[in-house]
Amino acid sequence: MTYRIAIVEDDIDQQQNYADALQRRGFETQCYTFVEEALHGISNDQPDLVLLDVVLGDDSDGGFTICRKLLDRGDNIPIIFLTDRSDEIDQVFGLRLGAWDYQTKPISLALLAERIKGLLRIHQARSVDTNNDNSNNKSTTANPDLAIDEEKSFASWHGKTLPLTLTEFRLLTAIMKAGPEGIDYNDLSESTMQRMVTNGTINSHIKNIRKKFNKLGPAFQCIRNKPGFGYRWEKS
Amino acid sequence: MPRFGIKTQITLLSLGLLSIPLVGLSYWEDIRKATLDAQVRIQEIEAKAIATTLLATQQNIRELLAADEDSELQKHALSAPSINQPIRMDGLFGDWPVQVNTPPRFNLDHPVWLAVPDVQNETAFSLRLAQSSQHLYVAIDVRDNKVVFRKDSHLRLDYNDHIQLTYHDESGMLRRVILPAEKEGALASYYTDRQWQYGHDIEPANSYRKSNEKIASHKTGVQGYWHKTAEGYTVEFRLPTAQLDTVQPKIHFAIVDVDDNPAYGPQAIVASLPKSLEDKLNPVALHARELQRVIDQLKNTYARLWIYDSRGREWAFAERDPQGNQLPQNEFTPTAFDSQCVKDALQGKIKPLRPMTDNNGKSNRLLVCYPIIEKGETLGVVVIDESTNHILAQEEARISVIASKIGSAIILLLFVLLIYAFTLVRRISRLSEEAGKSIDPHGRIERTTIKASQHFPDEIGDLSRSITTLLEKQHSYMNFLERIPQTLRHEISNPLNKLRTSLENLLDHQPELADDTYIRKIDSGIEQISRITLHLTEAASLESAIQEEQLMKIDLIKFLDGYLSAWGEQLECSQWDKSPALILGDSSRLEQLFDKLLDNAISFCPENGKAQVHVERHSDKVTVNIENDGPVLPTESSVELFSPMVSTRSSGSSIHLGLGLHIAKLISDQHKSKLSGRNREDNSGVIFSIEFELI
Repeated sequence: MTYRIAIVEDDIDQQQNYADALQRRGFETQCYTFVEEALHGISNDQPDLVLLDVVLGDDSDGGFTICRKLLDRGDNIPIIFLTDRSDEIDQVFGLRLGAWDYQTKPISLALLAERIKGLLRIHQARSVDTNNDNSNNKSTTANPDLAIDEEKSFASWHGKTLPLTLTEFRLLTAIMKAGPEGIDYNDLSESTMQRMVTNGTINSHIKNIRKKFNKLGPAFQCIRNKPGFGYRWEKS
Repeated sequence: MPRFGIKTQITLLSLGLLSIPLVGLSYWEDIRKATLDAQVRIQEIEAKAIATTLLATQQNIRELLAADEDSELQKHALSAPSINQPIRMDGLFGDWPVQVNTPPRFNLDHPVWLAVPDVQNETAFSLRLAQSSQHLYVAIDVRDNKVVFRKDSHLRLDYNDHIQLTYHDESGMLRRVILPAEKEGALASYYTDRQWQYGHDIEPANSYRKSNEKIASHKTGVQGYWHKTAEGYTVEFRLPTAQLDTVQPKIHFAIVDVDDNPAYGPQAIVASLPKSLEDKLNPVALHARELQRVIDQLKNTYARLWIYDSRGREWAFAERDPQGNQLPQNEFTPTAFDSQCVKDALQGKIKPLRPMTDNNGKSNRLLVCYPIIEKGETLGVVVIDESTNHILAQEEARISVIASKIGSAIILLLFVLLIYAFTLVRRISRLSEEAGKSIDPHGRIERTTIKASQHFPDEIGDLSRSITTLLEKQHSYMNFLERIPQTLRHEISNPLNKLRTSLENLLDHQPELADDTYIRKIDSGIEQISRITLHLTEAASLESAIQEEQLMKIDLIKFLDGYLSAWGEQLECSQWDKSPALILGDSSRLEQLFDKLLDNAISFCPENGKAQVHVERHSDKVTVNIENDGPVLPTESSVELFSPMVSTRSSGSSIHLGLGLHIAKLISDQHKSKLSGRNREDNSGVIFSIEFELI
């Protein structure tokens, strides 16, 4: 099956690069430069996934506008923000709008393609799950309180869904799998499938993961820091 | 340089206001002089007017003031100074005026009668006279070794010690009054006849009015006191001046000493005139009623007024109420005749201004003397005496009122000035304090609005608004500087992404280029720029991120053990106490902090060098020292060391954006710890210390 990827990027060169790279990897692409054009095109020819830049021409929040409108009208399309706006507030805002992922430039096209594939796989798995029932979650963890379905990138804590981003999900899975021995920063960086991930970035993600756990149940202390090394999972 | 605050300055300047009273004081001296000058002129005019009036109205002025023809008698003239207070009739002389304290003394130089001539007799007497406007006061101190009192059985008045008083009454008739020694107490007196033996009723002086009446012998008008003393006796009495001839007043006293058998007659008679003049009476200067009337009209105008004749006899005297005189206390009894002013006037010289000075040399009296001149002959002199105090009293009162008003105004002004100064200083202090607090110790602007004096429409308000504007501009500029990394990152990201994706596509199309040197260099360059943008992002986002983070209780020693062990051989760690050291912290941030410090230390180490870590334990804090050999810091200023985009050392090819220490400082501040950098004492390397407060 050939997936169609909508690329919304006002820089024609980057847009072309994304398109070339994705086409070489078997994706079909449809490219848009401006907000209205993108909304119109995506409505007429719905893609399987949308790559969105935030700043589109003179519209500094054009990407956010497209995301909100697409999700508002019920299009269940995975959206990846691919932008130079790296502020945390932008990332939080984009993810809260309903985007599946938020990637900051510069990116690796290979890793981008992998992320896209992963997201499509998850999307497909979740769609199948929605069409059938919700009983086939495959837990890959022995921790009875934490359920992780890697295929769907789905995690739950004490039966409650953890609203993790894809990167957070991957980090949690990596830590879980490493167990009490722990996983170092390099491996954690690789698990994010992003380029240039610093320890600080990983620490920020871990903080966010802990916050989300704590919202479901206080006193979550399973993810433990190994100073100077990385993180480990410790059963509560 | 000593500090002079605005309060001190304004206080000192305000003291300059005190010069106003000093100026006023010098002005007061001018007023005082002018007032005294004017007063002198007034007194001169007044004296001249009195003299002229006397000449014009007193037909007998020449008769009054002309010199007595009997110059021999004049030698025995008696003086009766004026007194301003009545004298108590008690036989004691303590209340007599000072100038009659040395009264003339009469003894056997003036014998009228001696029972046994050539036998020493000690009978003598001293005589004091004084006059008020109503009475002639007489005090006689008699030395008598044996006082013989009058017996009740004696009708005669001369069988005992007694005093013979002779005078001319108002009509010029000779009157004889005998003052016998009867008893201690009220003085008895009787008109008597030529023989001085019995009481004798007399015709009144103005007999034409009551022709059928006589005055009883004991109604002499003499009021007095007889007092026995150790040496004899004293008599003090007064006689109404109305009974005396004031045109040519004359009076005579004779002391009659009676001892043993009175029938034999007196032992001695001593008189106020020598025997050669026994038919005469002593001239005495009594105030002339006509002249006294003239100056009495003015007695409340000046302290004292006199009219003297050319011989110095006082013919009239008037004095203001003594309470209001304000004349020197030592002049209990006024007299002016001895003054040079009077002497000059009697010589026809008019030198009106004769300021009298007190013991301190300060003028306290104004004495004006004006001669009474008729047909070229100086008959007398009019003297007007006034105290400068009295003259200046009203002026001083006015000046005092003005001075007190000015003084009050100055004090009020000083008070207002001081309050104003304190208000200004307080406003400036608050402005200074607020301005100081608007920038933190690292030079970062914490607030841009200065509230102090913001709404005052004055220069301090302008200053406050200027500082606010300055802070806003500086804050804007700082924001710009702080956003430079983020802006740079934003601006670089797109072209960098374009480069990276283009290169990636190129290599996908032509994999054989992957080994091309230039392609590898391009890839390396892109990688380097990517890292730079990453660091920029990290620094830019850290500050806002840590504000929301909550610190938790962690064991710093345990953290350091785990953390430092991950660095392996790159570090040289000394041993330290492993007991727990609890701090409030965030392990991931501490990790980031120590990453930066250790990265920094290692990057500046010489080849094969190691960074050293020491932990110092104290009772309330833990200090972690990270040392490295190598180049020293050019500055130990925390502002310069930890400012963003400032790299103080060069370390070859490594990327140094100056963000590492800035990030470390931000995290240190988050943990309320103290981060500092210094060179080793021997300049062999650098030590960064971070001091954590224990909880």
